[in-house]
Amino acid sequence: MGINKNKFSFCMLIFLLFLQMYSVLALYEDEIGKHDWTRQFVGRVQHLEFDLPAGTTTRQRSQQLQGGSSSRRLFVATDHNVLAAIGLKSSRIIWRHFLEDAPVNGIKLCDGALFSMSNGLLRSWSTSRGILNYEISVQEQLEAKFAGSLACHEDPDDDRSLVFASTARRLVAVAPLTGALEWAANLDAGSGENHSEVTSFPNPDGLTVVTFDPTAGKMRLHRFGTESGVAKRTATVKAEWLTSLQRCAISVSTLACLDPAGSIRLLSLSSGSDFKPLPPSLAEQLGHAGPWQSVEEIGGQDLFQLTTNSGAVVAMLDASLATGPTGESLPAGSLLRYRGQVRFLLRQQGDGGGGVTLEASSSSSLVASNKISLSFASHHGRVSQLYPVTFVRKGGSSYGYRVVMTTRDADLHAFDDTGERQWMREESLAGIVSVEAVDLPSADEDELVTPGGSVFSSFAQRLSGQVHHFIHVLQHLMLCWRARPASQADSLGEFGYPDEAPAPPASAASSSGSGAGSLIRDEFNLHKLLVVATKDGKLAALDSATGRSVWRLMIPMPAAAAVAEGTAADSARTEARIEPLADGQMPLYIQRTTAHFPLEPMATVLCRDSSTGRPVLFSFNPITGIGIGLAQRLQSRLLQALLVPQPSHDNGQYIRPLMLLSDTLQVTLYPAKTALPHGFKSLNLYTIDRDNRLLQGYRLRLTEQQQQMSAISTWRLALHEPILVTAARRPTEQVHSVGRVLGNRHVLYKYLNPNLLAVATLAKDMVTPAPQIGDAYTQITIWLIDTVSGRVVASATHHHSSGPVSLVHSEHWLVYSLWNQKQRRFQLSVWELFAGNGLRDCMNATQPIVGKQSYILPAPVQHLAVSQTERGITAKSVLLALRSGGIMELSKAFLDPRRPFDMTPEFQEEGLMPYHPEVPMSTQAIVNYNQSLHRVEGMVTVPTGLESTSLLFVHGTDLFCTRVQPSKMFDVLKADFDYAFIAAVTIGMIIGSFVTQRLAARKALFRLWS
Amino acid sequence: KIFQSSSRTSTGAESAVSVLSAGHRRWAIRRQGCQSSLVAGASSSSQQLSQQQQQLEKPPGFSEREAPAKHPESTDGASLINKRGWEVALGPVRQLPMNIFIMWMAGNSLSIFPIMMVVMMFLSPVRALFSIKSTFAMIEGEQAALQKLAYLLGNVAALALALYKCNSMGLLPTFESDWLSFVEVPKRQELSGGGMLF
Repeated sequence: MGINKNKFSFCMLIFLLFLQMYSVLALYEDEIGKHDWTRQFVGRVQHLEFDLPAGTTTRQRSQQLQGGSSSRRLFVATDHNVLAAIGLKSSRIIWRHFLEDAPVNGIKLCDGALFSMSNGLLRSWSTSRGILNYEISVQEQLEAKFAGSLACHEDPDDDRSLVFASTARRLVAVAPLTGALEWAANLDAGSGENHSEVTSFPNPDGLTVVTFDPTAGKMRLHRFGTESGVAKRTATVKAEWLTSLQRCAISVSTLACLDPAGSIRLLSLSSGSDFKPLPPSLAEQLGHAGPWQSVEEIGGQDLFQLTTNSGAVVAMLDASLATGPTGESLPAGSLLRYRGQVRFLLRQQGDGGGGVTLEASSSSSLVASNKISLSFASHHGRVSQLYPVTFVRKGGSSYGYRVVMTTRDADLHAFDDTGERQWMREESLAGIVSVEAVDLPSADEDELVTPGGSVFSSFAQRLSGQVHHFIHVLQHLMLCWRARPASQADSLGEFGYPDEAPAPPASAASSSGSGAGSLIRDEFNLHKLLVVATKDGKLAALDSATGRSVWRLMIPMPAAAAVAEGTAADSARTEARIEPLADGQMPLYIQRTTAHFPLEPMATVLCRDSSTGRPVLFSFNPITGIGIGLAQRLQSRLLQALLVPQPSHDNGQYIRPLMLLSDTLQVTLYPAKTALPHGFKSLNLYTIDRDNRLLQGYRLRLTEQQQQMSAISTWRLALHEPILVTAARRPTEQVHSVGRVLGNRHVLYKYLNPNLLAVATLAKDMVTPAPQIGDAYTQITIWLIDTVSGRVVASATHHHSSGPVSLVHSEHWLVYSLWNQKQRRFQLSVWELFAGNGLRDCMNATQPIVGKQSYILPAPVQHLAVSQTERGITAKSVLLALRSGGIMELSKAFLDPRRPFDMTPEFQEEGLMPYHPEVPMSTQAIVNYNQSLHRVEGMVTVPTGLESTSLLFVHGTDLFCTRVQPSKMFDVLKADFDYAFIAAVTIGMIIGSFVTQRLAARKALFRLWS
Repeated sequence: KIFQSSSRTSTGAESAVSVLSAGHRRWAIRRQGCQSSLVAGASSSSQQLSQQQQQLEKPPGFSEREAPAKHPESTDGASLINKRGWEVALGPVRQLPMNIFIMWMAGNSLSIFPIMMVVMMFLSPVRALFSIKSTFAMIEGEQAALQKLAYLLGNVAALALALYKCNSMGLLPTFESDWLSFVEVPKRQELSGGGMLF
């Protein structure tokens, strides 16, 4: 046996050695991170647990407390369904798991292991390495949408712990260490199974579980002991007025809910059988009459925080009303948390930024009561959640605490008990919704002169430009000098980035403080700023070379528009925030680039005010992050907006006008004074209405006054099928060649219609017979629509196919991926459109010839993108974000509908590859090598000054930026180019030619003499 | 041994020939020399030889009559000039078959040697056409016009052949694809944009 084992381990060792060898073949080590960077995030924290629960008295725990201060960490579950451990000191991600696409219902530390509940599955994780210990399915049948709840029962006396995990239909009690099922109980959730909700709270005896069926308006209450799954008490409570359990808070003995009118109703969990309103006497004591906005449970013992518009109250609410309320009034925006015996109160004034204080007080002398002021920059907004933790200091004599908090922009901050910030994680960048790349201002003066002027005007322009430039540089230097002490004070973590001190003009300080000196365009314009907008209403600029945030800015709320709206705006102040427009859109428009030097660049973001739903426009300088003017709230709702690709040259402003189409079909220009774009026969806009499955086209026209523009509806196309995704060509895309050369030297002319829109819709498949098991098949239809005329240029249907569909349209081709239900594989299809030989359809428009071909993709794909270069000469590459975390670069030559089955010399001469059904996947084509990127939400490609190179920026939970070269670096000399040798040879030749010339002249002279 | 001796004898005969060759018909002397060497071995005086000659039978096919010497035809100057003129005029045409053969051998692949050959093939008629004045100066006579025309046509034919070769090698921009890079991408006439409903 022992010999066998030795042999086995020896074989294993050899095998591992071989594995090592092959891993070396993959990549040059010095290339890692040279032209690319990765930043890993977790997302907005929703559940947080410290690995050292406070107030525990178990001996084993306190040993851990004292011993392992270096390994202190916090566990988070986020809105990206990520479960992660983050070092409390380093802010680094220690481990990270991406759970399935279902919200995490809760995480709990119980008996030294971490438990998570999501998608009806209870999982136990080892805290040190994040290894999955075991997984228990709480419910036998899997449902589409799970509500779940997690609780931990720890009994300090008998050392027996239990983990309770429940869905709306079943409760299990599990021994935390072994994962053995102690007992299970069925919960009667009612008829609305898929929408039933559940919440639970541990009590001294066991657990209280409350399930709620919103369709029937019935609540059921179960109280369990720890011993068996027989409920000690069950009760059914009618609550038709309640919409969701999310408007309730549960504690040890009370369930407090908000009714639609904003008043509190209480239910005693131990004895009550019906909700009782808050008694008037108690309400008086609280000092507020409501209406209440939210109710939160804050640390056991029936303590609730009730929030109104103007303030908050903390009260011990007991439905049995046996104990008197201990109401305490708090100012608005305060947060109160209990951690064992210690009480943490966070007060904040205004809309965030300065003036955040934290008071820690303790009934016992565990923690020295103190009051500290916390400082962070105003662009983070208010503190939205507070997570305190107490721990024993190294000597074991005194206690300290740490505070972790999330702000409105989803960033995660950690402060110690002196009020000094330990680190900050820019989790807001995990929620990027739109990206625009901005060229940095160039250092040389080539761009100072705009073309198309006379010699003298150009000369004058150049001179004035130089002077401006000089003044600008001086100002810059002054700003840098002033901002230096502030930036030195910043603490810099490994992954936590420095954050500015809150100076009065915070954005100005941020722009100058963090490395303004390096923000100069490089030789090939490879260094850019990536301006991003996040779903929490934050703007930031990332340095494309390093990934560092150059500036950050919260989109300001526009001032209240009218006096009549005053009260409404007042009441909505706490709730109002900037949010994306419908469908998660938050478009960024670069209205003026950096090319017009004395004029500063200008970008505009379009978003929405959540309280009124009105669109908000905000302009800013994309290089410095300083707002231009104030945010504007528009009076009417918008249908769509269109940025004119060329700047209007009138009055020397070089602003690309943004045309806003309101729902009354009025068109306004932004900024209002810009001139109308000219040079186009017509200006058109289209809208895609996902709810009504409708596409509509509008044409803009001038009314009589020449200043007013309005739109008329020109076409509408009802697709009658749900719209999955759409894709259009980028307006700035450059096409170099108008045709493809065939083997017989004839030309296939491309169908280059810049106004095409590709739409993918889903419908039931009526053709393919349904499979024996499972649901009937669906079909995907791809439409190619001319957005000027509304004409369907081409369409095709894929039977027995379903999403996820990803579309990309460039030049004259279209590539999309879908799932083939029958063959059970991913497919990549390509269309190429060529100009037909004068065939015209009934609308007298030329009809293209469409070549189509499908290929098998051996891996699931999330997103598609295409490389973009400056002139469009370089071959195109399709970039595939694979579900496995890789970004694969696939040459467009593989995706060609003309790849022939039978090779002829003619095809060979054309450079076509013979058809092969499978797309080759090589590991060398993975541009992000081993840095897996999860939950990719978008890929942006940006042309650079080098024709061969385009920048690729991938965002999602992780950020990644690299350079993509589809045709290799054909326009750059190789790194190992022998400059010295070539120079020596050239110089030698020149010298040699001079010498021989001299010699020849001498010889000729001698010959003449002789 | 035998071989050596025979070679020696032959050298002896040669020396005899060299001695005896003066003043006689070479062919006869040689034969005589051979015969003498074969029959009589080494001998030294011419008298002896003539005696032997008379004594010897004449070999078959020998005739005493002297071979008729070629007399230059009596021609006039005009026809000579014409002839020379035609020679010059038809020079390029005569080269054509050889050129065709070379081209056929060179093949249609685009490599350095076929290209060099094509270049040569272009250069020679072009050079000839450039120096056509000096060539035409050589041509005179009553058929000069015709000859000049023939010379010109011959060179043009050579050029045409070179062009044909270029064409078959694909060097002539005769297809659409050769002019593709000069085709401008059509300018955008209508502006259109939009997206999901806000």
